[in-house]
Amino acid sequence: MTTHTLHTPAERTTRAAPAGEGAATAGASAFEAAFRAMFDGYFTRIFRYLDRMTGDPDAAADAAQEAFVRLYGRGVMPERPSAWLVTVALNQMRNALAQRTRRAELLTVERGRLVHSEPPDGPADLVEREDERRRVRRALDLLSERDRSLVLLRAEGYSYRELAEALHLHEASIGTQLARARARFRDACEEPTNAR
Amino acid sequence: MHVDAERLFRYADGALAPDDAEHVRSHVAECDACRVHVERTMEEWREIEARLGAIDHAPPAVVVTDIITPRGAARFPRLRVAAGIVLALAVAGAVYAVPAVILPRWFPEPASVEDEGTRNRSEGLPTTAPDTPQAGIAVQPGEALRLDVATTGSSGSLEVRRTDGAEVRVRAPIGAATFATEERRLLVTVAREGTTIEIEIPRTASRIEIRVDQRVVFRAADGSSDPAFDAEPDGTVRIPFAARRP
Repeated sequence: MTTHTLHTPAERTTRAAPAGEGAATAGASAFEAAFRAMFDGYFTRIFRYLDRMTGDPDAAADAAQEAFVRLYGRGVMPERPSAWLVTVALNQMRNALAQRTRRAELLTVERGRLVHSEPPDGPADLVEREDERRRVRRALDLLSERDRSLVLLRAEGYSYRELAEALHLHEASIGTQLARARARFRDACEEPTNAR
Repeated sequence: MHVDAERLFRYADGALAPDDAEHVRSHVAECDACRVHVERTMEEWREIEARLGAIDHAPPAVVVTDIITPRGAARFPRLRVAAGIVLALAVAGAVYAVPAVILPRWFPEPASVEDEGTRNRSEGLPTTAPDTPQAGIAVQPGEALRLDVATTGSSGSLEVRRTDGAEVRVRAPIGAATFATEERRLLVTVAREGTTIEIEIPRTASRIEIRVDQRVVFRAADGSSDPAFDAEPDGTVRIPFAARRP
């Protein structure tokens, strides 16, 4: 078997070396310590929230990173950093999606996957998994942005107060609003996938 | 008298103050209707959290030191990094191409940009010079060849095309992947979320099988592809693979 590699000057899997790591850790101000704690506790949750909101992991990763970059750039913690991060990240996400008119692309991709991801002779569980993925994605897309955020942020463990602040809602009725959003999500999941 | 719905929801979600939660707990212990309400709410949340896992993608490999940079230093959102790489390559290419520049003589052979992953593990196999700027690997298909793709939990897609060439050629034009060969086997490991793997298969190849995480997703034998694999009008068979649930 003759083999050769097709080389690239571009893609590498290693991340860029962190700049200023020594200074950042050695100096470890109170803000930086708080920032690190926020990053450790919330980065993955913010990413997952945005990814689930849109189904676009690349845009979600960029928006989550940008939100933390901005938080670090402030130099002081906002009063409710978890809610602040959601607001900033969601705005980043909206702007990015609006610029790229990403929505149409996503729908095209979804349709393509429906056709080609079904293995011709694969086991039933793979088909079921794909069906469930489509069903959940579609159910989320059917919800209003507020309902989607309520369900997804609550699933990430956000408190009622954080939900109210991040989504600009009245805290006194968050439980009821969450229940309605949850019911709409459940109903949307139960709709036949070819209903639309 | 029942507890109002908002308080029940808060109780079920663990969002009541301790004193109030104790009061609701006492009531729920004695009231079947409210207990069912609370249990149903908690059960629904468990179901929702389980269902949401179906659409998750792997989180990016970002660490806090990627964010904490000296004030004013360059930050790294993907597009800026990509733009920087493209600019650097363009400048390097232009310098390399200018006649009379000594640089080409420093690189008499095409530059190898192998890293750990792209290293060919089949030492001693004859190699040919790369003729494309993209990452990948090319092999003679021989009598039979199996191509194993390990997704490492990422989502992405394969794009399979038949060609008039003599080699099976595999590239990752979007995202990143590593490549290695064994006897009658070609190994591709996806190294980034959203990677697209392009696979070119000679029309003359006798027997080719592509597997994704051990599952057969494509077969071709004696010059023709299995008709079960639906090709698009341009002849490409697209095979997405989804991120595995955590």
